Amino acid sequence: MNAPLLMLALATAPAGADEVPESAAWRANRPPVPEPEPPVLPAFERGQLKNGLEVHVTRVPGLPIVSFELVTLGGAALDPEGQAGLTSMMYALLEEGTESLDALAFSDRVADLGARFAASAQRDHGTLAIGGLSRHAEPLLELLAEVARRPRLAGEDFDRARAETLASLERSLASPQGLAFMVFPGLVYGADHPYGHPPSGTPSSVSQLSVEAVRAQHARVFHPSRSALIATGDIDLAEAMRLAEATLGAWQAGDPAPLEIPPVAPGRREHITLVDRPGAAQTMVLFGRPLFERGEPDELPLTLGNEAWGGSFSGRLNMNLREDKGYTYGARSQAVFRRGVGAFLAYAAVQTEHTGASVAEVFAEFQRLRSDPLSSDEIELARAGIVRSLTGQFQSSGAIASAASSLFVYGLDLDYFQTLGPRYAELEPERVRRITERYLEPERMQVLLVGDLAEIRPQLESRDLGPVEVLSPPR
Amino acid sequence: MRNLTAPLAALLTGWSLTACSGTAARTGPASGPGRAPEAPDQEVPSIPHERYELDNGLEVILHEDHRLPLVAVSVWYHVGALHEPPGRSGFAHLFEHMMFQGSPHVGADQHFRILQEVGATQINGTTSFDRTNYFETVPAAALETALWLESDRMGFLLASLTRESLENQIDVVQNERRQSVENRPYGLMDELMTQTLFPPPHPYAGNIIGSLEDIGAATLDDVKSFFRTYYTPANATLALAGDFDPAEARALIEKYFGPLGGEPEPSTGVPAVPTLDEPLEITFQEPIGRLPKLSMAWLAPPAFSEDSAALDMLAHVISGTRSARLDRKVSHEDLIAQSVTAYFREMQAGSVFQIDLVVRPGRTLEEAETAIDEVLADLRDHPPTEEELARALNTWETDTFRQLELLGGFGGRAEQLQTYNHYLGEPGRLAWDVERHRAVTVDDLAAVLAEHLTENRVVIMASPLGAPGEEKEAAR
Repeated sequence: MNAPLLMLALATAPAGADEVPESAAWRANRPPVPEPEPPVLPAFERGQLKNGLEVHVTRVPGLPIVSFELVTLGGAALDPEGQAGLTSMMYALLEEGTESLDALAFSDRVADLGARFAASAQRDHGTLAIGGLSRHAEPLLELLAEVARRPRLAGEDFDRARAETLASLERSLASPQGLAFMVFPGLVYGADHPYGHPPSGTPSSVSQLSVEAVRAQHARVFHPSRSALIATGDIDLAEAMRLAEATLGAWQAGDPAPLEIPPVAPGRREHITLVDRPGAAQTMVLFGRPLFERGEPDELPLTLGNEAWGGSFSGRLNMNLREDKGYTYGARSQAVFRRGVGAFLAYAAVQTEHTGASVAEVFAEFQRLRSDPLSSDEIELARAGIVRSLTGQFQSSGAIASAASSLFVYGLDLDYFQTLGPRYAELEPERVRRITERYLEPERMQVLLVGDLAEIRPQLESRDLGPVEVLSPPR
Repeated sequence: MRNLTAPLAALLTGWSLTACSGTAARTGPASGPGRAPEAPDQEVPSIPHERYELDNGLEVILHEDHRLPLVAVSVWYHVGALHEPPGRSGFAHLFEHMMFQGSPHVGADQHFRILQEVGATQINGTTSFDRTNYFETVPAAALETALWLESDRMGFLLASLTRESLENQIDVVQNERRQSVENRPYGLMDELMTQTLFPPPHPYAGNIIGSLEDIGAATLDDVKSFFRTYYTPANATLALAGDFDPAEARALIEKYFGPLGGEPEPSTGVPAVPTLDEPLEITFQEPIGRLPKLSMAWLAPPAFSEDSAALDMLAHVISGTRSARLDRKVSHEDLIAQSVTAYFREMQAGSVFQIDLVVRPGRTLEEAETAIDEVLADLRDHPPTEEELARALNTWETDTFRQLELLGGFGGRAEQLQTYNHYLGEPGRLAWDVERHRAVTVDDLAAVLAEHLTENRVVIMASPLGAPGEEKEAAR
């Protein structure tokens, strides 16, 4: 119905509109960008209660909103052997109310405060989060403390939560991304490593969990000396300390489970692993390998090198697979650092018929780091992007809370983010090249493909990309 | 160096604190269980701004906020899937991709690179049913760079377009479609719902992303005529939010955008909202998802029309918290759903009220439909209470205000101003929007339920084709 209008407009378009007029020639001069000012970063502050609980506060003025997160070390890495998903399930059950409020009453209490509550387990830690208006700071924190200290952990709630988790796992496994990220940790770390299973668990591991195990896990995990209260928003340190003392000052607990993450020796790849999805229009492609612990000297140079290779839109990986070949909507890589061994990860969803070519191109990009090392321009672009965007990374209280949480989880100094700029500035390009080349080693990359085996196998064989081992999806 | 912990009063230039104390008063402890909510406070949030127009018709919105040395730059072109000609579904979105391919003075593949170099965040472009937007948040010192980039592609994109870059982006967008539709659980089902509510020739039928065939059929001439018609300054709005001097910003905007020529604003009509004269129930074979899914949808009047705040609140009463009517029944008591949502999506040529329910293993689509119908019938017999409405409003307000923390990017302040400007012709309608949500009564909820959630609805029941991998593996 818009066609006639469009045609009308076309008829009146001036001839030669595709040409740039002489009068616009000045636009070829890109505006100068003044030397960047030092980043403006939030002021992270810290206190501690007598029971060991750390209190991290970042005041964000402007909106009368506050958020509290109770962050506890441990996370899915503390899942006992054979009970993958136990910590996640324990956190899921913490959304089901407290000794004095059942699940519906708890949910109503949160909604009455105009708040949102969430509980989740990551690999190295778990988080209980509640946020709302700052004039409700006290009742919000009381509710959070009650969840941590006096959770309901009832059998009937457990049955419901487990059924819900099993249904969610079933749903995730239907998605190529969901399936890939469930399988890949085991390939990178080995299935027995604390980081080798998906934090959510698998259908078979979750179906064997019991409410008794959840209660025991609660005792193994929750402890004030292993926790931090992260307060962000319209609140200051003194007020946060007062509220923390009132709600969590009397919190005591038994001995928590030890936190130890063993090292991983990165092995050579023996085959490409494939999960078959007959008829899939795209193949999910993942490359990965274990790295080293957060805080090691190679962390920043590798982060910088990764930014240039695959961490940004303009990195080599995306420019090749997307902007040159058009095989994918986007390709990225990440160097992920944890309390224990971190991981390098590169991924893309690529068109089925170009799967072999895509895998070959990613290998070629790893190789090219040797024949055509990262140029000074590439390194300086990545460096500028990381350092100059620091101010912009801390705009929302959510982003600030997550940064404060990482200070606690990884044991970083309060001025960590302030020191990043100077630390990146002094990295020698040669060192960035050497370290990037060392870790982005094609032979040590595990490769997972989730896609149509019958279509993909001949593509891999014709390019001599090594043997393929077919893996059944997790049950 | 500015400090985030400077005194509160000094930092409120860009945001009125009174705004939120209004909410606070109303959501205080007195509105707890069993108590009627307090009368709404008259104080409402606002995003202070000024709006003016250049001689070429470009609208400009300026919102100052000096808390951080950042400026969000947002350009809206008032063209979306709504304006796609027949046979060119997905074209507005494909065109959006072409805007990143490099204009003549900027150069090929330079847009992201330059923004990365100056330290930009929140860099993106999005196409919706009704409009296309482009945004980036830059350090204040790089505002001129962002204006240079945006003005060059607004003025001169066609001079640097090549067949190669169009063919490349056709491949990329077709892969975007494969990723978000063909290879995503329920992607095709969601597309079918849009096509059923807005059957062709309604331009929404393309569901923004368009068909593989139509995307592949786009020609360089299509790109050129679309640009000339819709990407004219007179059909665009530029918004800045953040740390700038208004006089300097005006001068820079005049320098970069003032000289741009172009066609006058296109006089596009908006097609009428389709009508459903009977209930439609469709069964669908879901190729990717492994759990059955039911979607139930009703058509509603265009965005921001009289009943829309009440429909929005009704969606919150039905779903979103554990004790919301539908969640309580299907997730807590009867254990039918893996997930359930109800939402009201406002659009220029027809809005949609929709309920989605993914069914748990062992339960059925029929049970899901019966449960939803029972909840809707129960809502008619036992209309929402003041307490339920108060909770819905609290949640809506908290979510709405949280978005205002960001200057730009998805849902930030620049985008809020643009949204109200696009749909209502006036950027400063946030306060009005909050007021009209606060003004919704339980009687309004009952009325919109009766008027809009009628038997004339579309239900799609998707049954999984079978777990991928199983059958074929067994056959081998």
